[in-house]
Amino acid sequence: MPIISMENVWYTYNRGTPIQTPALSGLSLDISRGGFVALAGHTGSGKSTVLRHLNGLLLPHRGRVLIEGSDTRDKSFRKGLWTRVGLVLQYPERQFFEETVFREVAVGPDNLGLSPGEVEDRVLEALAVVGIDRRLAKETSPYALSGGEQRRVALASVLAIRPGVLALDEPTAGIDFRGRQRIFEALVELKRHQGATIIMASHNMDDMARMADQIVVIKEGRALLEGTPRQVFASHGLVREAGLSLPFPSEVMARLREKGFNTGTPALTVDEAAEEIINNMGARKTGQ
Amino acid sequence: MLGQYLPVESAIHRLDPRTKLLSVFLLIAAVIAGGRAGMALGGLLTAAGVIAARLPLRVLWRQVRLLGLIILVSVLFQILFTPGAAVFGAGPVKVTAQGLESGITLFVKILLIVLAGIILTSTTTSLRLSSGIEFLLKPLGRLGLPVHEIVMAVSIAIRFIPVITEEAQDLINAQMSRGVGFNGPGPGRRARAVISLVVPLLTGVLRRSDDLATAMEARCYRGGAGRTRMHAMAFARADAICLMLTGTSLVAAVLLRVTLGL
Amino acid sequence: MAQSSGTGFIRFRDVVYRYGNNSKNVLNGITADISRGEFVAVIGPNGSGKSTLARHISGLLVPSGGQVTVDGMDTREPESIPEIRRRVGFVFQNPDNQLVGTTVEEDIAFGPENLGMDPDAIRKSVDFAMTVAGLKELAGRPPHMLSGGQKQQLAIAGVVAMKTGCLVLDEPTSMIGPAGRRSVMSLLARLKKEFNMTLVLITHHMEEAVFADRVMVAGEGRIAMKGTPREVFRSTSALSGMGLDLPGPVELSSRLRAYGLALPDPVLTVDELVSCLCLL
Repeated sequence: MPIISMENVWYTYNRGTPIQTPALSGLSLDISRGGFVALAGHTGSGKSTVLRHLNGLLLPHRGRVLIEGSDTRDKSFRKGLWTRVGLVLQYPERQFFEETVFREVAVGPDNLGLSPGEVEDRVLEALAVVGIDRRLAKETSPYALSGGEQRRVALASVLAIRPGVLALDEPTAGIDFRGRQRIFEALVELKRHQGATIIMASHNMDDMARMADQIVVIKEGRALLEGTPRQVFASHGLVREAGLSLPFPSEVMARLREKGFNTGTPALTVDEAAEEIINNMGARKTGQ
Repeated sequence: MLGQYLPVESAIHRLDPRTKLLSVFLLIAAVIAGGRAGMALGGLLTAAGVIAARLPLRVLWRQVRLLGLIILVSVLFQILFTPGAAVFGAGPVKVTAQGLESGITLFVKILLIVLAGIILTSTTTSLRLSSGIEFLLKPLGRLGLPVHEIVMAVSIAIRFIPVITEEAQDLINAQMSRGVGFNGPGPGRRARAVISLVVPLLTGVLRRSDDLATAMEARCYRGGAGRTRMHAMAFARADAICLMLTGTSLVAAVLLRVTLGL
Repeated sequence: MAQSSGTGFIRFRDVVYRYGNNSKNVLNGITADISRGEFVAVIGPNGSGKSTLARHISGLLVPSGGQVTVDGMDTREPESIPEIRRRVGFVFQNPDNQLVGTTVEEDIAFGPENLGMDPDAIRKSVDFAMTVAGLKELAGRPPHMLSGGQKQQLAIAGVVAMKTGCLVLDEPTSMIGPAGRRSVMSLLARLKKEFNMTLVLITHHMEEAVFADRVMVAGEGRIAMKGTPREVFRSTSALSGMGLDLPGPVELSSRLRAYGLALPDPVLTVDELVSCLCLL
């Protein structure tokens, strides 16, 4: 059984007003346990709306959303849903209200009603995953940190709840290169060692190519294309139709192919692209 | 959202902001001072205004609903605490005929005033509204009041209402995702929920106003002196008609009330 | 006012800046010249001082030491500031916090209104700016109903309407999606090509810096490197050492050169890379 399944979900913002905007128009989606799924789509395609359905912040106007087999419209189930699906919204550092980093990360576990000892364990574990120094955490205000560090603290504040599913909306938006690397290291750690299911909305195709094992391309509130990064990026036409670009390595390979190079499956990393080009060059030389 | 501009084309949208401000003022005066005739004429004009402004009833209802509690409480207060002959009563609670009448009157008056305000704000962008207010308040400027600055501040506040509302909604979502209960049990938890909303919201507003001040400075803003407006305000025939209608209604309502006691 | 000689429309001379008195220098001796009509990209990791540098150009910050001049006018002289801001427009990172008007056209009119232009002239500038920025259809739309990319186009249009001749942009694309980023970049290309506008673009997207005439790399409050994109992106190890990523084509081509392919150093764009490989 998939851990998450969205069945023919429809949702419209400001329904019934002159500014109503349809966001989801019959979207169906299955996500299996332990997967790293990337939702790709340009601004306004509905990816953020999908994430808000996963922890019951939004309920479908039509269709249904099942988390581990239970319907999010069930009120008693929804009450504890935040402990199963951790949602990290865009610019999560704007949610800070506690005096220290430690207290900020402890908000979630506190609300679980855990003992102070257990809360501390969880906070320290979450801080370790995102690579924030624990001594710093007890003395520093979250607002005193750099942008990249703030983002990681916000991520930790959801990780400390230990949700089985982590849903992230543009986790690296507005963060510089080094900061981005640190966030991805944390996500890889989480998936590998804790078996978390991760769903990430993004428009950075290169990040997706590197990180995800399943990509869902969303266009106008429906899943347009779905598969492994290699399968998805092999369909250049559909990807471009959704208003997206290919990741840089796949783009190069696609362009070379148009020029008559015999390049096979789309490359996902610069290393793969380099290797393929070299092999191809060799083949061309011997062929000549 | 209360007071949000609705971007459609209509006769009311095209009126000069000063006309709209004055008309709303006249209309409110008619409703308050004109007795039943005032309410009837005011009602007619408001209905005409809603139609001419092409405001969907659903939008009106949403906005009125936001003020529902205030309206309800004041009307109930009137009904329950006006002395007179009891129509019916249960224990200490008694409803009088006079109470019912003044309650209904109050309800109609508040409703008309609110509707007039909604027509004004949904058909006038805040910059136009502010030009109008600034013009009408000019006499106060001579008394040393910084009219331009006040009006500018208010119009920017209006521009940011939807942005900050959205931010507040995002924050509620973010905190709920960390298990912060906004309607959970216990005053302690609820107080914490309020703090979790107010602290980041205030921080955000301060950051925004700081950014905005810098941005305005970079765009050569230096207060009202030497500033011009793109929309030179000009009265057209429609403005004359609108003012005549509201003006006549006020006069008629007052006359009818004084002469016939309506 | 003394008109400075030479090409330095914007001149930085040994500029030092610190917030307050005792804190560390954010700018640590910057000397640079930017000519009229030039497109300069400033890159650097977070905290390198690149935004602080940008804010000095339009006098939003004034140096603690050294001198910044724009068109010969010193930013430390308060009476020069209005004149400098008529020549240098500024677009900020956060698309929301710089828009004042309740509709697109009202917002564009804000700058011209501040300059005291008469209503007809304002109307013309606003229409012109909307056409250039491709916002004509959105004239009556409130800003909060625009996409991030459209908001930044609007902010740029607000500057275009003021006819400043120079535009400084502080990470204008870091909070918007790729489609918005593309439209902002093509608008900038148009401003340079058709109106010969001077552009200073602060960015952490290396692919954007590739299109500039000149790149400056900021690091720890200094200009660590400067030159044409070709010169700067040849120093791959120095850039990586500063915590910067490389444009994809630069990285891939250097990998391929290591395998012994005869590619030029550096290759900056995908087009260039593909055509070079086809010639091999």
